[in-house]
Amino acid sequence: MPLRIARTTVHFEGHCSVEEALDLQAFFGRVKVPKVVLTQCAGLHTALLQVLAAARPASIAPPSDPTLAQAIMPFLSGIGADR
Amino acid sequence: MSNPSRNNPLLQRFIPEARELLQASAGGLLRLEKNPQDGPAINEVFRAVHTLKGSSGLFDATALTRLVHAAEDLLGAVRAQEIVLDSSLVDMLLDSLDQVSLWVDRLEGDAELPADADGVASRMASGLRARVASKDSPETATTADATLPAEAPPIWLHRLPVESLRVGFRRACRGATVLALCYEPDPGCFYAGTDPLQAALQVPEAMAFTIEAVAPWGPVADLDPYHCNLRFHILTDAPRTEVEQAIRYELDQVSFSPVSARDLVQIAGEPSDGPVWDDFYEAASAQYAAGDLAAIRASAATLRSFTGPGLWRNDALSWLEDAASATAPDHDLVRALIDAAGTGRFGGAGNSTVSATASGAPTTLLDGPNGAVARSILAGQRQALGKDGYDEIRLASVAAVVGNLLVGLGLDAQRHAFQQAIVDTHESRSTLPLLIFLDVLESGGTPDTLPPSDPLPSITSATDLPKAADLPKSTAPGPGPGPGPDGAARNAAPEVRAPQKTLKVEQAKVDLLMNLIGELVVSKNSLPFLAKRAEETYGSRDMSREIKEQYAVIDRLAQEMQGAIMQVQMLPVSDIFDRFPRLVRDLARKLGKQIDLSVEGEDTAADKTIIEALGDPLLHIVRNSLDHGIEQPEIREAAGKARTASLRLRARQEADGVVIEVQDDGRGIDPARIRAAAIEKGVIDADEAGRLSDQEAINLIYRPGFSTAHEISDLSGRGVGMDVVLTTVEKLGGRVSVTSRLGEGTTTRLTLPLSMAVTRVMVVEAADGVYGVPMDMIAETVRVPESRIQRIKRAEAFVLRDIVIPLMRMSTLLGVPARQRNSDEEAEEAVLVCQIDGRHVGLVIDDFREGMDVILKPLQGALAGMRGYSGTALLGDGRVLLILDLKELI
Amino acid sequence: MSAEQKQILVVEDGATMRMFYRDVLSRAGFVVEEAANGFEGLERALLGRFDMLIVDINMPKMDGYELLSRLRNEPALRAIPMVAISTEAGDQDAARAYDAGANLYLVKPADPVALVQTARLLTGAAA
Repeated sequence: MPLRIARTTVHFEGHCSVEEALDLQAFFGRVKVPKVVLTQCAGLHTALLQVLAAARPASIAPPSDPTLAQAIMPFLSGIGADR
Repeated sequence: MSNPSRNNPLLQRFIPEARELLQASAGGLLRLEKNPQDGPAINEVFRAVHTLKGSSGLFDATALTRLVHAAEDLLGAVRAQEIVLDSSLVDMLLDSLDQVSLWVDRLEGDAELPADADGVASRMASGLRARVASKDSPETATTADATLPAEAPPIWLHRLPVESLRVGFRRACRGATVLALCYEPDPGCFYAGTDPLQAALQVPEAMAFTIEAVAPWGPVADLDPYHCNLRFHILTDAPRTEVEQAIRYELDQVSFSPVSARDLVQIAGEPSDGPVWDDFYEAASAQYAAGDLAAIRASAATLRSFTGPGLWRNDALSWLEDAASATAPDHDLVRALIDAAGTGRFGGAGNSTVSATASGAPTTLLDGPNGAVARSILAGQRQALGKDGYDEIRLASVAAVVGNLLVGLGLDAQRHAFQQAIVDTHESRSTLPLLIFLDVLESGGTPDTLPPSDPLPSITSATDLPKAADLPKSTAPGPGPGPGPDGAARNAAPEVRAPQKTLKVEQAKVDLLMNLIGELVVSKNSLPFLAKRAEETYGSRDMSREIKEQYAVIDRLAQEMQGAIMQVQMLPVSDIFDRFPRLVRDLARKLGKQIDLSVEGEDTAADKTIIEALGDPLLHIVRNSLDHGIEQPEIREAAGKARTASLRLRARQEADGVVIEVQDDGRGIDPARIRAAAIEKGVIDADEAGRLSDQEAINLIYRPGFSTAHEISDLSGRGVGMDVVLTTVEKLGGRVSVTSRLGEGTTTRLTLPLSMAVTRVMVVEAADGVYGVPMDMIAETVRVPESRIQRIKRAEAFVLRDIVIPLMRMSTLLGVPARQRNSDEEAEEAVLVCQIDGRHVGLVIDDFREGMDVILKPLQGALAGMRGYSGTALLGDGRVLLILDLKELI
Repeated sequence: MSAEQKQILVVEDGATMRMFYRDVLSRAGFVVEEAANGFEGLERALLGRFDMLIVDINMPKMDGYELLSRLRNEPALRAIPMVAISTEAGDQDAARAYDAGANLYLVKPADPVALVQTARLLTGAAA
């Protein structure tokens, strides 16, 4: 199961696909101070990325895959910093 | 000024102006969307937004100004054809205008913006600005010939992290071809199975990889996760063919721009100054002249090691080192970077953060409360004099201004020197004497200490030119000397056009006028009573006749006045029609339908009250048509119709009414389903349903019990709330009719009176009282002999010209005992034959009286909830007439 | 306020801005006339006897630059102080305005105090 939700934290594991987008969106709608853990994430669909960007979660643990981290973390943290 | 309040007349002026400008902008945007080449439209929108920005600056509404400013910049770029106005851009702009409109409402109520305005403004403004900034990437860069390195680099380049730029710069200096990619995936690409992030990550040798949102993020709950809102910027030095191969499926959404090393330079840091930089500038310039790049690099490295790393010039040195060590050095770039480090400016403008220091030497002459303003005026005069030296025309106003300034500052002592300077200026045909005077004035010296005003020899060389005309003596404009290059300007004057005279009047004032005239009409009605009294009480027939004659005159004048003021109250239906293009467009997009809206007869005018009340019913009808009547393009296609549905809004004037039609070519209403649903709902029984014609079945949708039923809405193809339409329209004295052909479409027709200001009523006696019945309900008045009234069980009816007309007694309807009839009285009933919902009904009353015009006022206070009455009217003798609402009564 | 009342013509298409100028300047003792567009401004400037003109740059049909240049080339208006007012703070816009014949370029909305000072100095009105 690529998206694992434990209370206020959502864990991305392995390759996370577009099918998870609505669940992720619902998670952010439900949880007040959501946390995101991307450590085990090997890849995520663009749809998930934009849900993350729009939700601006309180904290994001970056993926351990350096290429993926370099690609998405400046974007995700930049959005958080803007507001 | 910065403390607006309810009593701020400037703010009160601003609010209607702002609304008008917003309306004009929104209208223009929609026209532009249809036809992006509409030059007048873009100018109109731009100017409206520009004016709004200017005026809003007068108030404490910085958020509003900021947002409007962003919109203006975007429109400026559109006007300059730097970016293409597409639908998403129109959406953004319309959203911004809507936001501004909300804020204007807030300003009107609270005289200040809501607390969250700043945040909202920043978010929306940055969304707009992102589009300005990206103007070189998606739309134009794809069409540009990418092989030309001369093209301007994409603007987003400088939003990339500077470390990435540096990496790219070094590779470019080493001879690599650096490509800047902008990949903006199609918003619907997820449905095609594309994952843009994965696709973008396939680009080889990426030195920079940034993601940004195309439109600003709203609340996460409103996000459509399947609508791609991201854009990718990538810098790579991989060969183009390789890059193209890597993202071959997305090529049409990627723009490539080759960038040069110079494009990637981004110098940052604090400004600094000092002799070391001048020394370096001199040395490096000499080394450059000698072509010794190694020496330049060494000089730069040395200086960089002992100047502060946070300095802008220090940063410039680091770029210079890289540029100078390039395998194929770009000499112009090296030169530009030497200049940057040496002077604090790169490329002549832009990147430098070194601020120009104003000369702030204290002076004696220009000190004082007006000092700062005086200085800026003097600085302005230098610019006004122009660059081309002596110019008689320019000199005239500058001399006037400086002369006035001396007067205004009370510097009488300087006036002599000033006049001398002017004389010298004219004689030498050089602005130099005047400039020297200005210098002295500004620097605080005494102009009397000026060097003798001998004109410089080099300047007097122009003596073969005609002598200057007289000195300008004062600011008072007088007829000019005549000769001069002003013939062309003269010809321009007759172009002045008489402006169209319109007067803006507050609605309240027109309402007052309307009420007064109403009162006049009513008071005039008292004259016939007076005439009657003159005759009956005082026995003067002559007096009675004279009063009647006067009455005729006043009656005519009052009617004309009423007509005239009603004209003032008339509004074109375009006032409501204008909302629909936007509404239909937005709804159609949301519903995924294709609709071509056409509007006809928008000039048709009707009374303002009617126009204003009509907005909602029309909205209901149009919405229903969009929601339920018009099919999805695929369904239409399958049914052999054009994919694009047509929706027509038409208005026209007929007799004394306005007809408004909403016509669609959608699926139409199915009478069979209506019948079935009505039976199911218990609105009618099966027998009744069987007897209904198709048209009558369709009419059922306006029955309250029917159309408010939610589950029916999809069945019928008509939505909820159609009874609201009916109620509103009938309150206005109008009618609604629907015609529909299954599979071909539906037409809803509203017929409304032109004006509802004056109602013609017939006064009737009934049930021990006097009542008014609206004339338009009355088909005819007849007296029916008792003998002709037929009783069928408890119901009564009579036959009028072969039609059976049911009879109802007003006393019964009003719940009042019937009048006792004298036995000798002729057995005859007064019957008002009324037309209600297309049916004839006879109302038995006691007697008919006169017809009259009244101003109908709605029931107020304790009477407000009373059923059966549509309002009251004041009679000439001061009594109040209750006007019956027959539809409710029967 | 001042013994001789100086007359100012304001050419500005925004109704709110016009009202602002009128308010501020007439309270300071100036007689203010208004024109809502370039053509009207040109006409009024030629017919009236003004001590100063205020010209908005961004106007429909005839913009402020063109108006300034036409006014300046009228022999009767050659010596009249003209102030260009625009929302744009850019040097290029200012340069264009000066080039067209303005004596001063102000960025709007102007500070009312500075506006009055400017008008007084440009017209030579006693404070």
